[in-house]
Amino acid sequence: MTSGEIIIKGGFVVDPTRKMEGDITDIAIKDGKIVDKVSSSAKVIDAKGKTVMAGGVDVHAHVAGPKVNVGRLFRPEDKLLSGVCRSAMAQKNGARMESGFSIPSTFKTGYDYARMGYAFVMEAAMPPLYSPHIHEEIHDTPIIDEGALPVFGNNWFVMDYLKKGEIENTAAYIAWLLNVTKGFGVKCVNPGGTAAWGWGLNCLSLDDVVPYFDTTPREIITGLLKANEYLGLPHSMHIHQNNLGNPGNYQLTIDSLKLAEGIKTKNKFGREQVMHSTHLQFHSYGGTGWGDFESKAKEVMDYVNKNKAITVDTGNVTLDETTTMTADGPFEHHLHSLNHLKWVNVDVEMETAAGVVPYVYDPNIKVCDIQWAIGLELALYAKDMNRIFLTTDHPNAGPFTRYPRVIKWLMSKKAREAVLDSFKHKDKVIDATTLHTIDRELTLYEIAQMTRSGPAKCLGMSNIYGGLAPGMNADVGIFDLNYKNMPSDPEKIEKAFQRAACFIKSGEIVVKDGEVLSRGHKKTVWVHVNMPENLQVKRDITQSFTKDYTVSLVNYPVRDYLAPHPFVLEVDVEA
Amino acid sequence: MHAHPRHTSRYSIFPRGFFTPKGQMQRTIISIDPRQTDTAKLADIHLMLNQGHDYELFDAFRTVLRGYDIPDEVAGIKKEVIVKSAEIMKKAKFCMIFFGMGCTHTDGHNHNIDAAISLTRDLNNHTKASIMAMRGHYNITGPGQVWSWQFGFPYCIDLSKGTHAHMNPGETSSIDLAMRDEVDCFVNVGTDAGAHFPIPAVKHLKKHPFITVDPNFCMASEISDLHIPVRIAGVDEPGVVYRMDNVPIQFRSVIKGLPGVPSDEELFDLVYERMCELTKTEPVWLAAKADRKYPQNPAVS
Repeated sequence: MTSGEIIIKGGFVVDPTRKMEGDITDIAIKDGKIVDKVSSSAKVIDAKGKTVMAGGVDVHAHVAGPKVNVGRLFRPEDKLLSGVCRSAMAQKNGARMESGFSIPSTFKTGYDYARMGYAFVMEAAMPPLYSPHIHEEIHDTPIIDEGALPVFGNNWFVMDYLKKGEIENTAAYIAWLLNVTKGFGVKCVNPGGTAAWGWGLNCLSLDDVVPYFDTTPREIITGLLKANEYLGLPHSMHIHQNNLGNPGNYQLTIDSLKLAEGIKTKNKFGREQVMHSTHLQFHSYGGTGWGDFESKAKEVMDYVNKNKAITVDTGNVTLDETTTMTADGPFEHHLHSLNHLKWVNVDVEMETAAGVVPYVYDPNIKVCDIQWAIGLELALYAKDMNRIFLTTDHPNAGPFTRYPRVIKWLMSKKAREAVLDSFKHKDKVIDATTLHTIDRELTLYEIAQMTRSGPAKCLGMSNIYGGLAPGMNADVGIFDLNYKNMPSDPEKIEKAFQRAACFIKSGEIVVKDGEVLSRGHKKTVWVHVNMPENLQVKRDITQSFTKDYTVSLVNYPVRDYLAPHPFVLEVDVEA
Repeated sequence: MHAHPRHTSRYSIFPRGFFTPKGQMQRTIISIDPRQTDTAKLADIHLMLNQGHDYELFDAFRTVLRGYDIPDEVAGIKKEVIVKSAEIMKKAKFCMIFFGMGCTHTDGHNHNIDAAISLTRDLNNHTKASIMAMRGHYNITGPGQVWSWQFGFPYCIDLSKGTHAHMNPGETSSIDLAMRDEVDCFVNVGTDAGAHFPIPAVKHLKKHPFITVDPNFCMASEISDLHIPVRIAGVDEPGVVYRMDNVPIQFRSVIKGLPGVPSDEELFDLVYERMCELTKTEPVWLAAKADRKYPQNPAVS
């Protein structure tokens, strides 16, 4: 954080938190925060004719941790696709080498997000046992602020408590785990299914019984929703649902979303939803097989639009060669048997599992094209843009560096039609989707909702990120787009968002004309829960670590020095 | 038993697991080794294959698993034994394959493990199976992880281009570089190149400055022009160490280090600082570390 004062003059400010739709106004920055006014000695940045937005907030991306690193390690060929060479200037500025396309190195991750004007990124799945690794990687990712969601959906403690209906004990366990892993919230991946994968099985419906644990996905989801609200965490339960990626899964998706009905939100962070359903694109499929595979985006979004207690993110397929990685172990095995590319499986003792498989979303394959259309349909059918966020489930449906391209498709029917026209199986794609019938083109205001104010609110940090009101973090992106006179060529939209004209992070100019100038002042954001000790849970944890874990309890908590730039959200839970 | 003395008791054979409360009694151990090792003596079945015939054996397992017939003897092992072993793997609730350098550094090299990985993949159609390397050298996994997230490659990294990292084992691997005499300064960190490298490679390296960073005296340190002792992580220096299965373990220090002996990290920081001084560049990445507070050594304070 620098104490230097900056004033951004004359730009079209797009800030949904203050209902600003391209108003021409100045943004003043001091001590790393947005302020009302600054002295005349402030550094002036001329933003005339350009669009000014808050720093982007990514609600779901896999950017750090063991499975991401497995992807980097087992895909040397991915480096060939990166196309970046460190310039002599960058080297002189002290910038590190960058590598990788779908699974970039930590340095490239930080630089690329900054180039696109993103300020905060949530690592979407942290296996608790590996949390020191994730914090080490986060430390090595420059500029951007990050948090990480530990996975709970297949945790043996959680399943054991929920089988007995013990919400309070589940909550106490969640609180303990968030504190020791420096985690942000409750992630739930293929509830029950990943645990069943220990036996080579899966849970494909809400009432499939998890072997040994004798619970069901329905119980786990409902239990975690309640436990999350019991604690009043900043973020809601964040779910990757069962039966991902299979034709005809949309009904299960809607049934799972319905579990949020009747659960009341309780928190002090301004969050309104009780469930965040992630990469919805993978869960909105109709048909009985790949032959009659079709879009059910409309059906799913009709439900999402009705239920205010739900937020979603899209998970747009970007038609690239990428690397899929998820804690949904059985799904990756299934995917591997579809494409026969290399496969890595990891089982994490008592907690979760993971898999990694490279994937090529080939525009010549009908199914990939339909997936592409579904992702866009979801956003275009949405009524409240503050409840749907732009992601590619990086790197599963495409790398995060394609966000600008997705923005282009959402903002321009012309750009969408050009892609549709290029498909080999265009007619079949049109038969299976409704994208070609949608005329809607999103506005910059709606894009700002999807990438800034919406996700910040969903994460319970609307007073810190995602807006430009005085008092908020001084994360400001300036993009070369004239709000009043938008370019007719959609490529210019993509280009503008790919390389911000200027990006200010925590009050420091870190990117100018797409060039990274500084390694910024990154922070690791986590949640610390203060609640009275739960003796039962304490005893269970001690006993389990003594008997079953291969690491001892004293070595489990992430030591403070591994996360040296903390930004801690405190949550107080009364007994 | 010998290469990883704690492995059998803590992880693989003897421990009482959550689903295996009777420990070894509930496990079936198959040892594949041309020698009668102590591990082989422990095993329920010892497949004493002909040396260098690993690939054939794994291939035979796969053939049997897929329901095809195999010759009466493969790799020096009778058909019945192979069929029985394959059946055991198939019926197991969880099948774990550990492999070491005996498999990867014999005839066939990586192709042997390719066959074993394929076997693991096939087994997953019947039950749950996994495969893991028995890696030597304490914390060899650590640099693999760190370099993967920093450069995307776990070893053999060539940074000399300055623009991007490059990896091509055979071209950028240390022994090959040494054999081609492409190296004009050799820094040996935490390993013993003197003992492990082929003599001709060491002879080439020895023509130029030869530096060893190691807590102990070893063959490499004996022939070094400069030997810098450092503290040992997990003994007199805390730090994160990656276990063989990639699980990070946060080590504490148990004794006080010798006065004046730096940790690896402090040493490289000093070298970096001096290098920046000589090249008149800003030590930016040192500054990045300044606000990283290291844990106090409890044995010291």
